[in-house]
Amino acid sequence: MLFNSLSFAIFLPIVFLCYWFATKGNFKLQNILLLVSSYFFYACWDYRFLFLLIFSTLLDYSTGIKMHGAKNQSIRRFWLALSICINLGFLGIFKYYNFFASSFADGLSLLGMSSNFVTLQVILPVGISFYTFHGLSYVLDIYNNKIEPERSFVDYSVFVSFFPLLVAGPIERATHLLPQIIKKRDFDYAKAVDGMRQILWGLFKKIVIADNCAVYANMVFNNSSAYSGSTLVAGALFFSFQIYCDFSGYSDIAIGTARLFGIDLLRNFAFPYFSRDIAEFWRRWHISLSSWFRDYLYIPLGGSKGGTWSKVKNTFIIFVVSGFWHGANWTFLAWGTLNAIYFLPLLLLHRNRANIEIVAHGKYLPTIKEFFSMITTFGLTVFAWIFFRASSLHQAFSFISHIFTKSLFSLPQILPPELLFLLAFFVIVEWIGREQQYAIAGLSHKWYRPARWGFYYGILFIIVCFAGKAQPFIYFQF
Amino acid sequence: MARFLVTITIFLFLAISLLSLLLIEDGGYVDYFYEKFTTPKTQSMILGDSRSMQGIQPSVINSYFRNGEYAVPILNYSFTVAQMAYGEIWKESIVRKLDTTSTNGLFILTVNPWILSKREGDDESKKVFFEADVPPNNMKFVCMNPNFEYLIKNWNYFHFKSIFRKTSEMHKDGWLEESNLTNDQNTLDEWKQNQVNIFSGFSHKMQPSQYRLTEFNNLVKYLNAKGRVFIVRMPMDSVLIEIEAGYWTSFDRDIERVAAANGVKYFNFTKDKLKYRTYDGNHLDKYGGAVFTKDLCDSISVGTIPKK
Repeated sequence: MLFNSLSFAIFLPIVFLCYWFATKGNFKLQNILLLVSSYFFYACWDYRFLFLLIFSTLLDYSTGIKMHGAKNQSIRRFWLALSICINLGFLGIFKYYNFFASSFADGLSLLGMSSNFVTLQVILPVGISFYTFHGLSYVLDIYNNKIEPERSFVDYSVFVSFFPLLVAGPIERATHLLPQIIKKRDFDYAKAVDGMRQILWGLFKKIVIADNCAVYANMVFNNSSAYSGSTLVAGALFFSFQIYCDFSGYSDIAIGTARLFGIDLLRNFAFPYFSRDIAEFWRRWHISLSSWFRDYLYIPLGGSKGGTWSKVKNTFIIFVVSGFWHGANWTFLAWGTLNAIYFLPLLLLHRNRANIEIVAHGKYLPTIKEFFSMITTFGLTVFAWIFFRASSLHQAFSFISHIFTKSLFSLPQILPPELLFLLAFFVIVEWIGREQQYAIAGLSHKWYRPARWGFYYGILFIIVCFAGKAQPFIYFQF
Repeated sequence: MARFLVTITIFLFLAISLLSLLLIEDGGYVDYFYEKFTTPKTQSMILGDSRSMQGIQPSVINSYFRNGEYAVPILNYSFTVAQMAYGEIWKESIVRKLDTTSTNGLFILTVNPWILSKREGDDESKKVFFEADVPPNNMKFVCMNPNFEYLIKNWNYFHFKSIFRKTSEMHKDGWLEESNLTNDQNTLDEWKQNQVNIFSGFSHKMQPSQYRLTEFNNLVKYLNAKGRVFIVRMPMDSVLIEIEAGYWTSFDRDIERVAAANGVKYFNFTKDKLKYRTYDGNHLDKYGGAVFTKDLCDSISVGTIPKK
């Protein structure tokens, strides 16, 4: 059930009305309703993997309680290890087995040895990377005594399976989401309206920008040898906007939907393409994942404490693992490694926290220096996205080598004027709204209702007129 | 909560009203078929695929027979070859759109081998046909304006962006007018070659269907009781005629047999050298269509294809 589908447009109001009316404000009943709705939502994707989701939920629920009640540290460690091994084991089998098997076989054949590894014909369960990390953050927080285990299985299950974030995040923390689940929620008009507004903007990003950019990005990447260098650059730019608008659009819809139920989710994107350096970019892109890795991997490894070698090692580990989280392909590892290379100089020169506030805070325009910093950071990011999008390292290198030819200075062969206009509109709106939680959040207190509604209808009109050919959400494959 | 529900309701109501206004005013520009489902039931019909959808202009027929020989206005209820083929399913849709009290209707049924053929995936014994889930056959309410059933079921057919360019228009009488067609000969040659490729593909994937021919015969019989039926084979370029002839060698004889069995005329405009302008070898442009429709009216009037 996609967020931008008719079935979701029917599902959401039904759940919403039942939630606020049928349960008569009883949050226990609301949680049961959310759980049933979430399982139904997930079953619409593939009912077979619902059992895996429930098993993973039961596992973390039980190990959390066992860990908390354990008499000594070694038993606590045992339960933690059990949860981590089983959760990551499932992830490893479904997502990474074929990669390791075929890579190992390729490695052996390079050494002149043959192998006969069996590859598994398995479907990747939707959302497994996301709900696995939900569960892991819960057990790790219990182990680190940040929270106590949740005794109610229903309440815990809602934390894991809450349908807005179930298939593509944001990756929530027990410390943030669980307290909201286990307390009464009152309907808040302003919150609900803000949620609807964020859903609208998310739909615009996904349906108009991402799906239209995807058409041209796919055209270029699927047949890169047929295009000029400048066209390949255009293709990489289209992909950059595609992935940003696809994923952040999904997050906007997820966050907006959660607000309808009185629940606040973690912010996942904070205008990353306006970043002035790579460190700032990684504080603004897929925030829930990067902060997860920071808190549960980077800091336990020592973080940026220790010597230079320790910092370099930990940084590489984080970025490579982050790349690998995205998919079982050498291209994701290359993407992660490249970002580590970008990041390291800033870390070693202690400049990784030079830009904390949003660029041109309180001003209309950036300075020349800020502008060039943004362009440079954006350029580096786009270059890295080539690896992310390519189907293989060979294709990525071939793509890059084709860019740096004389044809780089010719006019791109693909320059769809309508899409360029829409992108310009999008960038302007994002720029104007960059100090808000999402681009059009500020409309509520800046514009009068007729103007606001006119804008909303304008966005709806653009969505209806310029809807791109429907594409699957990119992050569903992770 | 009440305030939220009221606000959302008003917002959605206004949105639906605006959309309805758009569909009522410009529905013909944003979808190739929508307008066919917004008009009242009709007593006279043109049936067939995209050749007749573009090539036969109801306004010409309405003007020609305005003195009451037949019940006009006539509706062009043709669709594309991807949506229709003669059979039970399409007949049901035709009956839904037809004013069944008609006794003086004019029914122009265009034919070609492809819309009387069995397609990949069709199972005639189990009555499984490709056309079941696409318009017009997936529509229950075919005379509603605005037509929300079409909007919901066939959303993917809409191309709202076209409202800015308006290069093609589906008129309320069911005629699809293509405007601003290119004059670039290379492009036109490409389009024609594309049609040749499509037809060649059809000839490998389809098979002449006795079932569909029987159902066509049943449709002729049914409509003949409501007025007069004329079977028409539309003109097209010779290269496409050759493909059709090679695919179904006895096609004309089979149609003549159906015509004779029902006492109706069969006008085969492929026999003479093409004198109407097509833009891609298959579809008449609006100027060729106007001339062709007039000649068709003359044929209907005198009972034979006029010699020119």
